[in-house]
Amino acid sequence: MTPQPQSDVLRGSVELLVLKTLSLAPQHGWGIGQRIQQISEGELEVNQGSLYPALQRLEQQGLITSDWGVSENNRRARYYEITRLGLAALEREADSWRRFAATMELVLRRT
Amino acid sequence: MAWTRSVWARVRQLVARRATERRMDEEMRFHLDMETEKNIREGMSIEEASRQAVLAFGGVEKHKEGMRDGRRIPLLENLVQDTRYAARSLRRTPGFTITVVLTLAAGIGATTAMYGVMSRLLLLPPPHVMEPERVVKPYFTYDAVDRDPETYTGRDYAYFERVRASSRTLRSVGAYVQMDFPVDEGSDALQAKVTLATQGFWSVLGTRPALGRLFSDEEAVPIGGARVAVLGHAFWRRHYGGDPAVVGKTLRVKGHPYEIVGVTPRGFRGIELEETDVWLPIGAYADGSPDSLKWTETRYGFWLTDVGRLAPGATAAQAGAELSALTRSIDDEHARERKRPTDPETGTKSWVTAGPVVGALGRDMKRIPEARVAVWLVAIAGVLLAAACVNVASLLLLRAMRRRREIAVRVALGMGRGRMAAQLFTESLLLATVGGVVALTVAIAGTTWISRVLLPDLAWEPDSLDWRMLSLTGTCILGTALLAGLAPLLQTREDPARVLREGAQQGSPARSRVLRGLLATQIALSVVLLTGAGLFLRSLQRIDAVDLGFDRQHVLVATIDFSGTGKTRKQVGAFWEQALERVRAIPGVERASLSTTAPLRTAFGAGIFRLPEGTARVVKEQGMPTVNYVTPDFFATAGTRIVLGRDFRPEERHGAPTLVLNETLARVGWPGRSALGACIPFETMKGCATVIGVVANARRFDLREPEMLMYYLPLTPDDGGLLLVREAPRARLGAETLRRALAELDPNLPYLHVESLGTPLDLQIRPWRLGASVFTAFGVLAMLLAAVGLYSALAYAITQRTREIGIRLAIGARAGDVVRLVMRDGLRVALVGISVGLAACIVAGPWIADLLFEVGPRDGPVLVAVSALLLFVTLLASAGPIMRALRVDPTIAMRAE
Repeated sequence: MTPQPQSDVLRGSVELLVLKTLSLAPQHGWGIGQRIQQISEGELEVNQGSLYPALQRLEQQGLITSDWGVSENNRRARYYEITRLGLAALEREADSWRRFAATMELVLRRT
Repeated sequence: MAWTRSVWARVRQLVARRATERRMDEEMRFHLDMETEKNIREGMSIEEASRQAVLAFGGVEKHKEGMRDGRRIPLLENLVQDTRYAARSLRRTPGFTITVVLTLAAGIGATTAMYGVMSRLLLLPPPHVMEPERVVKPYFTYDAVDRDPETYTGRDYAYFERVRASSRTLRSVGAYVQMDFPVDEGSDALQAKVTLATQGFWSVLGTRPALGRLFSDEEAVPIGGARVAVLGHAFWRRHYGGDPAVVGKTLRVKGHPYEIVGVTPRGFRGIELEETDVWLPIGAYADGSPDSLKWTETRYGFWLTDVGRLAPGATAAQAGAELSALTRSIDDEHARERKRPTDPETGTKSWVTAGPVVGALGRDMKRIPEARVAVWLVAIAGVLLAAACVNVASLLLLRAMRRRREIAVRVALGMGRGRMAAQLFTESLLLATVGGVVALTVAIAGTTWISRVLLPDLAWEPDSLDWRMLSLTGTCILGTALLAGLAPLLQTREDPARVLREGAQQGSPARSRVLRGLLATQIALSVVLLTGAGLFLRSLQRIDAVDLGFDRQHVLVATIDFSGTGKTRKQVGAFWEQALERVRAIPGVERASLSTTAPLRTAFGAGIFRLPEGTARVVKEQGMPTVNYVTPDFFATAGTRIVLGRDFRPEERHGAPTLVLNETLARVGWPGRSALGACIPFETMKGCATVIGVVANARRFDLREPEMLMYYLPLTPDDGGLLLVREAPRARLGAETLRRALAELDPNLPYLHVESLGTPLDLQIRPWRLGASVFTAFGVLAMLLAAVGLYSALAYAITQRTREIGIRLAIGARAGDVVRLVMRDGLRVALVGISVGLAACIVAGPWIADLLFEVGPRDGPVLVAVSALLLFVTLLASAGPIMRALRVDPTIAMRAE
């Protein structure tokens, strides 16, 4: 059995996670999901239902690009790569996310 | 640009939909395979691994749908979403929404309606005039050394002929005069507005008829022309039901048969603003007058308006220069003929301006008094629009304050500021659009009201909504949305963490300088408008209080134009004597009299008249006296007070040499002593006439005119010209009853005109009445807006300060303290607003001064009354919030947070 995901990732943050993952190396969809799970030490599991639309959205916004490539097991796969615009967006979004987390923390601590 | 890319993507996607679908399928399949492989590596059987992979993945179609979603154009999608969101949030607060929409509708609607009238009066060229910018109208200005310059809009017929013969800068020249003539016969008879036009008139304007033809130059010669008539479009519709067979029919004008040859196009009004019922050749001017005046040759007249079309290449300035030179030489000629000093000798400067025919505004701003008022109306409508915008802005700001936390949370939860701003902007745009649609309705209704009720006798085209008006409304809407949208936008720039930390106590409107400023501005604008209303109402009051020297309300005047009937003077006189007897027998008639003229109508210059020694100089300054011949009872009928002596006696009608003076003549002629009993020699009389009475001055023409010299002589039985009838108190006699009673005397009477003695004044009073009604309507509207704004702000402040009030009550504050607390906020804003408004009125007052009637622009009582009214309104607006504050229960209030 697959372990139950500990935390369902907030919808708005999928893009951020995708950008972060792609900022390390180009990757195909399945790989991105695996990578997120891996980095978060299994705490976060990205639902495919939000991953692929998120990829489409990001590509639409020009933050990532995609092209066919060959996977590790020699299969044709769609590889995604972060753009310069994407890198800038990542920085911005990460910053705002940190501020939000701090705010949440503050609110939670106070009440 | 992000959106161009996404649009491009969308287009590409449409073209290559199948490729995309294939790509998605392949990507999904790859994902499932990878997942399955991973499951196998983790020790599952192949079937189990594949099953788990599919289970974990969920429906393939659902994912594909999700991916397609991701490819939609976000801009359009957001817009739809924002609009829906805005509509939902506006529906949730109906009070706010309705207030804003009505505010916008009032502000935009009123401005647009005013603009419609304004553009009609001032901006739009006269319809059905070819190349109206090439048509000019001369204005004659005389600037004498010891007098204010005077401008005339017309000359005489001889002048027109001179210009026509000699002008090089004008390709064609025409002239016209507007008059009231009785037309048609029997029960269809009526007083029509006619325009008499000379040769050249139609070719200057280049108008084409809607039906039939216009009259030719040959038909329009002054003497020996044709009896032809062209009907105005509106008159044709009204009087003939728009019958196309009207051409060729006969229309009686002053009793003479005129052949109808055509109908003008709809909306045509020449170059004047007033509608013309019937267009006639200039020959109709003296048609049928037995004592044929040589009106074509008389000079020094200012009754005929010229109009010309500039020759190719000529400018209006050149035409003005040419006409100036021509006019000066004509004037000098006349002066020499009359052995008078010429203008250069007296130092009088004179010039002619070839003015444009577009709009109502002459060079001297005098062409139509409504035009000046119209400029003011637009200005005050602008003030109302400003007040409406300020009100909307303050309401939106207040709303933004209420939603401060909501906005902070949404920003914190990751909603982009841009999106947030777009959403807020969409909301104000939606509000403005709804307001704009309602405003358009208000504008249409407003224009109709103004044209039907306030300015009924100008020619209005049926479609008064033009593109200018529409684009103006559009600009107003967008401008307002942008302005009002600014306030909440500022909100999204705040640091959400700080807002959330601050808690609910913050954002009190009492502390918002911007909001207080907006509220005070609204009150200031209301002060300005209400002061205007007050000043105009005071003017009307003063006008009503003016002692005209006669009673303008309870007296009817009956006149008949006998010129076409061929009746002799004796027969006409006999008719009037008979009419006088008949009328006196009608119940409801208190008194009646005959006279040659009546106040506000014509006035006849007196014959040779010698005053006592030493008064000649005064008479020269006051002008020649005028005379009226009257029957006994004239003064009592007209309501003119007898100051000294007595009225004429019936037996004096047959030539007893007696006369009555007006007060000014008595004072000028017999300074410091009584004129009674003085005997004045007349060259037309043997001996002299004895002064038997002195009566109060009666206005000759105008509400405002200098004192005039006047005297009265007994009316001989042959000279009757008009009938005055005084209604008994509380008897509503009415013009129609009188008309019918007189018509019974003679079935062949031409048109019988009956009106109230004061009727000519109505037109003079109209600018003030117009100003008073519009200022009042707008002022009250602005005041209501201010009250609503203040009420909302105070009411919101109370909800924000519930806790504070609770604490205060708990530590022993009394009801009075709470009232004071709430009141202070409202009153402070009101006082600032009133002070600023009063200051504005005092500064701007002089601009309006000459529109008022015997009221200073800084009229104390008006300013005090307006201030008091607004303070009272402030108290009313505070009453609700105060009641709420008094109901605060300290224990609940303090537990609330």
